[in-house]
Order: sequence, then C-alpha cells, then structure tokens
Amino acid sequence: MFLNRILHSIFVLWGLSVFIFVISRIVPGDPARMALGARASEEVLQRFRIAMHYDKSIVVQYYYWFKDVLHGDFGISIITKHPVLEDISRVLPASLELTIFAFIFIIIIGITIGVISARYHNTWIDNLGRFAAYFGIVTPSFVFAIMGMLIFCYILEVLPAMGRLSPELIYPPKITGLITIDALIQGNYIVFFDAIKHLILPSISLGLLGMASDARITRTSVYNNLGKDYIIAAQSYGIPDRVIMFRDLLKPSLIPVVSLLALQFGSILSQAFLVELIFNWPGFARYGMTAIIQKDLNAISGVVLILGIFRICGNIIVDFLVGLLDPRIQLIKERSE
Amino acid sequence: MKKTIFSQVLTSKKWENAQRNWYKFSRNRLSIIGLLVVFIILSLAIFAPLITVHPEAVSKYVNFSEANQPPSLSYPFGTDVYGRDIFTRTIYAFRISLLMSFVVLSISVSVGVTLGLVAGYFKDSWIDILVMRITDIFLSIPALVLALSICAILPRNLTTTMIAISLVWWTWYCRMTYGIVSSVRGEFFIQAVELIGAGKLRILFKEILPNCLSEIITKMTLDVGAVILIGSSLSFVGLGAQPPTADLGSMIANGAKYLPDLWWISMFPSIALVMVVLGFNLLGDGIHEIFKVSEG
Amino acid sequence: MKGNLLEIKNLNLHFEVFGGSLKVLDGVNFTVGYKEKVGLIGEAGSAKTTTMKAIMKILGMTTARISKGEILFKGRDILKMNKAEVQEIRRKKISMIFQDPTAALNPYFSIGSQIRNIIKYSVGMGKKLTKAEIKARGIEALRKVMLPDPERILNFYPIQLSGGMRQRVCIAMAFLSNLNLLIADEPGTSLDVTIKDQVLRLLEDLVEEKDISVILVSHALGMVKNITDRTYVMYAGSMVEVAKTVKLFANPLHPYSKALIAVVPKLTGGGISQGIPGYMPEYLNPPPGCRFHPRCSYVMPICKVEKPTFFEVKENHQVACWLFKKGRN
Repeated sequence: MFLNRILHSIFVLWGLSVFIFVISRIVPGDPARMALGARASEEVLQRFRIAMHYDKSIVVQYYYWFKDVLHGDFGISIITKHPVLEDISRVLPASLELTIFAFIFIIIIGITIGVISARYHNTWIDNLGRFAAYFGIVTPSFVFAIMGMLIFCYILEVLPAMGRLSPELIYPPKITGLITIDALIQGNYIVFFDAIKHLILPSISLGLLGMASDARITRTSVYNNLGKDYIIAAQSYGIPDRVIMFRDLLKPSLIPVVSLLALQFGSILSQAFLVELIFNWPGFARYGMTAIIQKDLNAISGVVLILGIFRICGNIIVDFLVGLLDPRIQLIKERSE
Repeated sequence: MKKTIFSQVLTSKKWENAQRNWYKFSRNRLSIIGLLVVFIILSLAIFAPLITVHPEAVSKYVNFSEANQPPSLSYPFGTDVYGRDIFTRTIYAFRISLLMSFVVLSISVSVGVTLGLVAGYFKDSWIDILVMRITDIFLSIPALVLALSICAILPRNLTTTMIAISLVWWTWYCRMTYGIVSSVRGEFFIQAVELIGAGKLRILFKEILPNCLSEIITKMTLDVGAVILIGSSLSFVGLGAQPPTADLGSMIANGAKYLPDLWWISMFPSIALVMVVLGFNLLGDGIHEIFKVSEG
Repeated sequence: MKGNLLEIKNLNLHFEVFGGSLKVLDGVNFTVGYKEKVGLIGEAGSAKTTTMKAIMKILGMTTARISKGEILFKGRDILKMNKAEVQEIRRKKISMIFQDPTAALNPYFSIGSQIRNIIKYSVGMGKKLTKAEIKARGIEALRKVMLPDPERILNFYPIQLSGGMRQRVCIAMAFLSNLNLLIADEPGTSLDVTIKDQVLRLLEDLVEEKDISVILVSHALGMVKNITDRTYVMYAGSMVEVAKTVKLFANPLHPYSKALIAVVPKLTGGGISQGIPGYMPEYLNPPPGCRFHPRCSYVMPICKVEKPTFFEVKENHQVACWLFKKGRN
C-alpha cells in the first residue's frame, strides 16, 4: 500500500514539475534579457540563449531543465545572482523554525480548547471556546499580524516587531539553523529568550487558522464520539470521566485532526508568505514572495517544487500516523493478506 | 373553506419542509446573526452609491487638506493619506469582494462539480485517472502560493486575479464531488436507473447531482468567506484590484505603513474584512445545520 | 434481606427534540429484590433500554430529562446522589451487559488494556495492585467466561474477535466487580443461534454461581422464561403487568401481555397467532390515558382518559388495566 502511495506521489511531483516549467516558459519577455540586464550586448544574449537551450523546442528545454533539477540545480536567481538551491538552503531554516513553533501552538492550544469545549459542551466554556475559534477562522493571518503588532508592539510594547533577533544580538553559530536550538546548545539563554520573543507573534499569526480549525474539528470529533456506546459502557464500569476523556475519547477523536494537520501544513506555508513579509522574517516564504513579485522564474520553480515535496511528505507522514492511531487499518490489511 | 392557492401553498409539503429547515437553521442564534450580517453587507454593497457621501473617494481623487483625518462625523472611518473617505472606500470594497466571490465560485463550482461528476461516474476509466491526477497536482501546492504564482505571470488586474483563484479553487469542488459520486454510484437506485436505459447525462444531473447538492451548497456558502480571504491576501501584496479601486486587502496594506499613528486606515478595513468572512461563515454553518441529519 | 435491592417509583423521563418532547418514560414502577432474577419483556421501542440506562445514569449525550420519580438502590435515591456515590454504584454494585458487544468495546484499544482500565478503577480503587496482579485478574475473568487462551486474547483488538467472543468479553467485564445487580440488555441478540445458546448458558451459570440479582431485558421470551423468577411486561414507557414468571406465561392478564405471549408459537399446537394490530405509539404525542388503548380489543371509555395504575389481581400478580379494577376479572 505504501508503495502505491509513493508511486503516486512521484507521479504528482513529476506533473508538478511539468506544470511549473510550463508556467515559467509562458511568461512574456525575453528570459535572456531579464537575466543579463539591459546593457548586455546581443552577442552575449545569443550565447546565453544557446547555453540555456532557449533556442530549442520546448520539450528539449524541459528535458534539460528536468535533468538539472534532479541534480538540485534550479538555475541562478535573477535577484540574488546565486544558485537557487543555495539560496533556499540559506533561508529554509528560518521558516522551519517559524513553522515548528506555529505547529506547537496549533497542537497544544487548538486541541486542548477542542477537548475542553466538547467536555463542557453547551456551557459557557464551550461557547467561549467556539467563539474564540470562530474568530481564529475568520481573521486572516495578516490582519491578526497587523493588529497584533499594533497592540503588542506599539501600544503595550511587550513584544518586538521585526526580525528574528534584536539588532544588538548576534546569531549563534549555525548548527541547525534554528536560532532557538542553536542558542540552547550554546547555553546562550539571552539569545534564546530573545529569539522566542520574536517568534511569538509571527507563529501565532501563522497558526491562528490551524488552531481554530483544530479546535473545532477536535470538538466535533470528541462530541460525536461521546455518544458512542463504548463510552457509555466505560461510564457504566465506573471509570472516571477524566480518564475516559483522555484515553478512550482522545485516540479516536484525534484521527480526523491528524489528517487535517497535513492540510494545515500547506496552509501554514501559504500564510508564511504574508507573515514573513510583515514581520520582515528572512525566510523561505519571503524569498519566494520576492521571487514571485519580481518574476524570478528559477527561484519560483525551486520554491514551488520544494513546497510540493513538503506537502507530499506531509501526506505520507499523516497516513502513517493515522495507521498508528487506528489499529483497525493495520489489522484489516493483515486479514486480507 | 375554499382551497385557495395560498392555503394550498401553506399546507403543501414544500412549505412544511421550508418551515422545518427554518427551524433547524434558526435554532442556533449565531446562524441568524450570520444571516443578518450577510444581509447588511449585501445591502451596503448594492446600495453603495446611495449611502455614501463621498463618492469621489474611489476615484483618482486627491485632497491633501483633508488627508490623515481621524474618524469624525463627516468621515466616520477617517481619511487616508490622499484625503479619501475610508468609509466610502470600505463600502465600495465590499462590492469588489462580493464580485470576486461570485465570479470565482461560479467558475470553480461549475467546472469542478462537472469534472467531479464525470470522473466519479466513469470511475477507473481514463477520464477518472486524468482528472484526479491533475487535481492532485494542483492540490499539492498550497492555494495561496499557487494563486500567487499564476498571478505572477499574468498582467496585474482584478480579472486575472479572479482567474487565478478560480484555477486554484475548482479542485476542491472536483475532489469533493468525486468522493460523493464514488460512494453514491454503487447504490442500487443508480443501477436501477441505468437498467431502465436512462441517458448518462440524465443520470449524472438528475440522479447523482442532487445527492451532492447539500454538501456543495454548504461549501459554497463557507467558501464565499474563504475566497474573500484569499482575495484580500492577494491584494495585500498588490495583486487584484488596482488603485484607485478600493479593496480591503490593499487598504490594509497601505495603512500598515502608518501604524500606529494613523491607525484608522488599517483598522476599519480589517474589521470590515473580519465581519464579512464571519457573516458568511456563520451563515454557512447555519445552512450546514439544515442539511445535517439529526440523531434521535 | 429486608426491602428491595432496586426500586423505581413513578419515573417520568422525556427527551427534548424538534417540535416538543418525547415523553418516553411515563410513570415507570419497577422493583428488584435481593438475589431476585427479574425479566423485562416488551416490543422493540417500548423504552426498556432507556429505563436501564436511567438506573445507571448513563443516558450520556441524549437530551434526556427526568421530571419526576425516584430510583432507590438499597433504599437511597440514585437521582439525588452526588457524582462520587454514583461512581461507587457503577463500579461495585451494578453492572450492565449491552445489546451490541461490538459497539460496547472500544475498537481502538486492546482487550487487555480495556480490562486493565476497568480493574484499576473499579475493583482496584483504593488498593494498590501491581501490573502482574491486574493481568492475573484479567486472565481469570476471561477464563471464567470460557474463552480459550485468555493470555493471547488480552492482546487482541475487538476487531480480531468473533461476535460470540466479544459478548463473552463483555460478560467478563461485567463480572469483574463483586456486583449486587446485573442488568443484561438483550444479551445474545446480535449473535447467531448456536453461539447465542452457549453464551446464555454461560450467563445462567455465572448468575447461579454469584447468586446476584439480575434484570434480564429481552424480547426473546424463551430466554426470560428459563432464567427469571418474576417478569414485567412493558409497553410504550410504562409497566403494564408483573407476575411470577411461570404464572405470567401460563396466564397473562393484560390484553397486551396476552397478545405478546401468544405470539410465540407453541409446540402444543394452536397455530401461529395473528400478532397485534396497530403500531407502537409515537412518543411525541402519545395517546392520552392508557397508551395501549388504540390497539386494545377490550377498550373502555375510561381507558382513553385516565391511565391505570397497578391493580393487584392475585398475590404478586399486578396488572395496569382498567379491566382489573377492584379485582374483577
């Protein structure tokens, strides 16, 4: 079954590459001119075109492009003049750190609110939770980011507004690229806490939608499972409610949430494009954003492809996790073999 | 008593169903609030020229003497850096948002549902495989990113943005419809109709489609908010409706530069945006209640 | 022992739904004595299960509301007890076996972990039991219900067991504590006939051995006849007749009981009865007075207006029917 999945994913990735390639070649304008600038001579341009295979048919172009991509070569970014792959590996850790933090918020806050809401369903606690979740869903990340900045950075002045670290501090030596981890390894608590302060607002903005959706889905899932016979049976044996909640209910209720998490990973990466822009976060998404606005096609291709890979890996991981949570899947498979 | 048409309508099954649906809908106060909010926003958008006092605010108007005014009686939401009334611009921005959702949803729902129906019905045929693979490819990129990328290669205006979002959006409806059709397809009543010899088109649209309708309608209502969100995200970065046309996202972006001093430039469009999305979400939830099969 | 183990007095319960309320339990009176085995028969939909769930207060997610009545367990009203006391009853005094063993077992956990959970919180409450002790108790419980290879079964998930085995596991779980009262809700309904027989025999043996009170809810009259001392007949939310089982089956008095018991074909001949015309009343707008009156061939004017209470016809034989007022036949 997994083999099927992987083959499917490979196919999707390939289709994605075709799609990206086609888009990047549709753009009007002379790619040679765009790469080399307005002052390059016609001769230089022509040499460039031949080297880049722009003179050949589109299928051939695709072949060369694909070959390069397989080697990790996405070409040179028009903006930074560096290889795209190098750029991406430089900016990716910053986004990863942000994403991980956002996920932590989502899982801890979102699921907890959902469980509590379901437990005290139809009371004021539930209504409060649902109300909060609602606002999480309808408020776009950039609105929250801006309002949050207004309140916490300018009015209350408790959180910093921009960047990953305060300007007077130095980045710790790069081991993972995640400032928090690197600082901890170094034992540098000042940097660690400063980095965390810088992470709070952007991660919450990123994770807002995820928190809210997870709270709702968890609530619905738990609420539905509450009425199941095995829960009533557990009650009849006198098992305390708290235990039923965190054992018998949590496992089945988490299954739809985990499936959703994969989807949310994609939406987080999306929202990151705006959030990184607002908070001036030197990440993968801001890099991609700039590339899109300035039509840096090589960079765009690289960014989109990496996103696709992340998305697909996310799906596979989720399938694996759901298999863990629900023993029936594995057992049914065994039975049929 | 004479059986007037009126009394016949009142006692007919459809009226009873409508009443029952209204009961289910109105049980949750929030749904009513949603309906109210949507109604207000729709009215504001439609009757915009009649309500607003400063119609010049949405054109290439500049009046620096009135610029940067905080909210007051004559300018309820204040003015922006060009001296334009933000209240007027917000109301007109509603128009853009609603227009965008309408167009995007019309296109994506018709295309997506049709493709989903066809692919689901002819399951395991080349149509199925082709359509679903394309859908998978589109779905592997996050929506906003895909829309951004498509917008990147097209000229910047409202129409191209709408096209870009539609290109992203149809896949959700296709996949959803496909799922429903796949499960409904095996039901006996479909086989029965096939045996009678009904034409494929008829089967698709008269038998299978009604089963999907409840989910489609619910999703559509919720999607109005979602499309407005993604649209404003795009206009936040400069895509979508171009200046001087007022659009919620671009208004927020413009105002962000002047935080925290000229807070009203960003604040009011933000609140308006949240209100619109909130209204449609509440409405969508209420509609979902109608279609939900209640447990006894 | 003096008094009754369980006494339900005039229990009124309704569910709030669209368009009003389902007035399901309409003045239920029900007693179970110490070490007494009581049957409860009636058609599907007569609210037998709801009554049982009300006893243990496990009505769960439903919009159930109890408007009147008492449920006395050993003389104390369960409805007035606080959470801790109710838990105590659930853990140590009353156990229930559910109709559908597949639904009653949590599909996501192994049998062993579910049993372990119950032991920890019911029997093991207050005592510190080691893992080995808990496991031993689990194995012993499974062995008591005649399950082969109990150790292996502890590691299984419900989906890996057959229907009969699942029902045995549920029975084992019910007998984990030293209960006073066992409520068996349609045991064996979801099993096929041969397995059902085995499982019911097992149940009978266990009940004999433990010498406890039992409420056997069933619409399989043969089962009820064999096991119970006394039987109630329930219709549409209240008890219509109660008598010693033998007497009830030999000579049912209430028109409904008569028809119900006559439905079972007898080997002594007499053909197959015609069944009872009409349908169970809907609980949204139940018929006034006696809820059976629309289907009753002996209906009298008073039946449509006022609801009959239990009238004592013979010793220990009571009927809720106006036909039997003042002991007239």
